[in-house]
Amino acid sequence: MAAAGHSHTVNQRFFAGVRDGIPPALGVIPWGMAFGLLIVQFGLPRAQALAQTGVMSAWWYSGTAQFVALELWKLPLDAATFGAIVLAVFGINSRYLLQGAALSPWLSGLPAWRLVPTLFFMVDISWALAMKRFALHGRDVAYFLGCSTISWAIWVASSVGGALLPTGALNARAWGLDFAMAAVLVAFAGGRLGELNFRQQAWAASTVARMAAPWLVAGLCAWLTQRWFGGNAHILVGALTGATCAALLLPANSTTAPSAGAGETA
Amino acid sequence: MTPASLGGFEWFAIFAVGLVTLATRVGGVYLRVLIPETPFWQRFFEHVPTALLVAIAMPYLTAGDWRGAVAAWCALVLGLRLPFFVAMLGGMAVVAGLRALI
Repeated sequence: MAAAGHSHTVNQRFFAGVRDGIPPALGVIPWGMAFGLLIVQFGLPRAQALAQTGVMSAWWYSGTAQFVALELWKLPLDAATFGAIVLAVFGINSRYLLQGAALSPWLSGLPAWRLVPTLFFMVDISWALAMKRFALHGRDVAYFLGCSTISWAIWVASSVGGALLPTGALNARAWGLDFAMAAVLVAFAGGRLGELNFRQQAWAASTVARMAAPWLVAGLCAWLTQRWFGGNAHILVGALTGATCAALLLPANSTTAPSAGAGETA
Repeated sequence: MTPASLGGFEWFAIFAVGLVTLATRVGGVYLRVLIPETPFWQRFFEHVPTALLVAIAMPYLTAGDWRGAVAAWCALVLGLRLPFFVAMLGGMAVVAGLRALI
């Protein structure tokens, strides 16, 4: 591993990444368990639910995208639903394009057989930790892999653990479990909006209106599209209109800067 | 939710969507030269996830079942400042409570 400015061995740098990656990764345990629990709600045989949970978490390794895909998921799956899931997952994960581009100067020259597996494990937190590390010590792929893989391992283990929990005895409706998916997705939306940090903005009416406008546009367009056309078209229409409006009205770097408290590590 | 099982197309979809996710992770490194580095496109990509989540959340916030809509708004407001898991539990508690009471 190339490591400008490092005197430690590859193993030492890898485990330094593991050590730094554990605290934020612990925060995804309840999230992972919720994902496993929701898969079980589909009524699949337990072995299949476990397999789907494990494969999705290990292969996709993208928490928000997994929840969104599960919202669209239906059995049997048809081509239109598959297309909607692909678009939604691409939209949710488009931030990785920007994160990868930001890492590009540090990873240039790395052969593809090392670059692809390294980036496979990249999530918001490991990206943030790596950027900080690289800025201080130069490229350190071992450290990046260490903090990425520990987060991956905890995510997979917690989601499979959630699918193993006994839920059959619970009355899902009485406990609001049938509402868990909706609550997760709406809470994600709230979390994203909360990161806009209105508190730092002047409370002038024009500023508040400008900050809120893209999301009102996204919501309104999505609502109208769903009312008129049904299906999942509202997701694409709302996302494109809202993002375009936000690009025109809002400053950069307000929603995607990873933060340890955001719970968005997988 | 009805009892069902995963067939070949479902497993193909899981595999294909995983490839999409991997492509977004790796693509930024290779496509940096192709992504327009204008402020507009930078902001557009930054805000896509938020807009997408707002669009996804809308049906819940405007649900025909008023208990679900109230719970969704509670989850949204809680999610503005609290960890997502707390917001999720709050929304579930509200809907369960409203169903039990009314």
